[in-house]
Amino acid sequence: MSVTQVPQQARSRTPFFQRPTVVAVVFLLPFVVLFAIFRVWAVGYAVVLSFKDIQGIGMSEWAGLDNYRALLTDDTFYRALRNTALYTIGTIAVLIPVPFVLAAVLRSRLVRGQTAFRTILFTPVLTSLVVVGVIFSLLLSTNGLLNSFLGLFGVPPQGWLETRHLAIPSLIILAVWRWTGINIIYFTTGLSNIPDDLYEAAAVDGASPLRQFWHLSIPLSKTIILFVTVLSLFGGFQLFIEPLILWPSGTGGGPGQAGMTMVLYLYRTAFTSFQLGYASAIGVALALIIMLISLAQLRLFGFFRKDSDD
Amino acid sequence: MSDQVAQDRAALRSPTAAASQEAHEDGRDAPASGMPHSRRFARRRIIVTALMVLITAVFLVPFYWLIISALRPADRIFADAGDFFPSAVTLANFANLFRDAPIVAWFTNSVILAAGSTLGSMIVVTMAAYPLARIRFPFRNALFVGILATQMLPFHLLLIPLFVLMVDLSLIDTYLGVILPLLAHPFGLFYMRQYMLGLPQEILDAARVDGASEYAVFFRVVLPMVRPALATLAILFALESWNDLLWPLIVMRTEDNYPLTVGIQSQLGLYRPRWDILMTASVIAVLPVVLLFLRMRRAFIGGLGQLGTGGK
Repeated sequence: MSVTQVPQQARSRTPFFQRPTVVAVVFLLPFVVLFAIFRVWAVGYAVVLSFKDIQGIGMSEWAGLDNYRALLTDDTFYRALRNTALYTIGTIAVLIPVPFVLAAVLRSRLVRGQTAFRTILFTPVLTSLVVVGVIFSLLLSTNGLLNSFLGLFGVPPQGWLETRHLAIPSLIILAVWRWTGINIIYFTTGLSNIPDDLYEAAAVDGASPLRQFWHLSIPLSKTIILFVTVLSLFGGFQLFIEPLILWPSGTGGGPGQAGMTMVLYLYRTAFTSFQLGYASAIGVALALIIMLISLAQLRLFGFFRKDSDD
Repeated sequence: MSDQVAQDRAALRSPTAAASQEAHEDGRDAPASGMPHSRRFARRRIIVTALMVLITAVFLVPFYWLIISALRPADRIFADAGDFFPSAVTLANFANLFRDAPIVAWFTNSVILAAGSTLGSMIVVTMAAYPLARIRFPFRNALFVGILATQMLPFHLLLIPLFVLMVDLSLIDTYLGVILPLLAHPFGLFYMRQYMLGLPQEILDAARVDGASEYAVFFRVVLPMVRPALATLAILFALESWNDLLWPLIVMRTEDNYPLTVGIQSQLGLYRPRWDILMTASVIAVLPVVLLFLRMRRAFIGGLGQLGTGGK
């Protein structure tokens, strides 16, 4: 084939299967079909189901807004919403500043063996949440390691998994172990995108390293901090496996349902009590809440670019 | 304040040294102390490094606990959950695991599910990414943005409709039922498209000028060039599938069809949990991942750093 042939070919009729749009369709077909069925259709069907009363597969009738009306007066739902929100706020309060400082420290010359530290802090991210839950149900048990460690300082044993007000803190302890590493990676990426000459200029102007951290590193990491916050929000509101494993018995959700979360409630409603319609309404409510909060957050920070950094 | 000049010189060499101040500000500023090789810098380095050693040691405790608990005599695992050093060490729990639980089936299922969904997702995602990055066609951007926008929805909203669908399709308790609904992976598509956008146009043009069809361009030119991205996706998809609990928990109904995560979870619901089985099965679930990670650290961190959001 010679180069000169091409313009001629282009002018002549392109074979059907070589036309750009046709090629595009061929390549896109598997993804789009799967996506259309298992995402788009499924979302629509979830909404439809939320308006139905379902007593087992195949026995359903329209219920109008009954499910949503019931949701508004459902104490367990509010408890789940409150717990989920508390957990999310708690994890964000710890898992933004701590990994940020760690990322900055690990980038500085003040630490030897950065790679080893990063590797160790990252490994929990790879661990299955089921296993993490199993390990922490030992660590946090009344006769567990955390209590025997606190005992060294004269703290009496706490019922981490048995006491109402310790359920969310227990979940946050677990989350800090599991997610610190990945947030360090995000923040490291963010910090390495800040040009060195900004620091040099600041130094020449007489800004101390602490001031540089405060006035350069933090404001210039706004994008990545927002990104990680949105991710944490998403993750927080979808909390499920951890409470399922930590409180496996009976109705689930821990002491006085203090560990009941939105998704756990959805799961129990759907697959323990088989109220598929009501569970769908919980799912729709969850989706709406997540969307509203993340839209508000993005708007608040003046973000509306689709392909913003990583 | 004049002492700060010295500090700044240190900061100049190590911009983010600033952060260390957070960790330990000792408050005394001696002139010239900020130089990286000064005594003061060395002292700071020792303090900060020691602090990091302490933090990472704490982070290692749960892993130590996993292993040490699997090695304690079965009846001591929960009873001695507060004893840092075990009173005795045994491998008997592993024998129990192989005798009392279908661990071989669970492990095999995890491998099959991870391999199937990884391979399937890679094919589907890579194919779709090519036109979205490299071919002009109507509604291209609308389609892409639409796909990404659905990521705003939690996966859990889909649980019930997908469950009903799997029942209708008789895919409950099958590998396909676990794999199929999660194949079209929007984050994977996003990542692969970004990568393909970065390929040099001249190479693609050269192949087209040589008369290669779009299909040939994809298979002979694009695929070899996106190999690093494929590796990232392979790690990401495999890890996600290996660690997934929720969807296989809903689809798989027979004990012999459980993957490891569901198998472990099923032991917890029992009236008296078998801690020997729980801990040893957990070791088996974690060990391959950690070993692989230690061998391919960069690829893992790179891949997960880019899109390890756990997004389905």
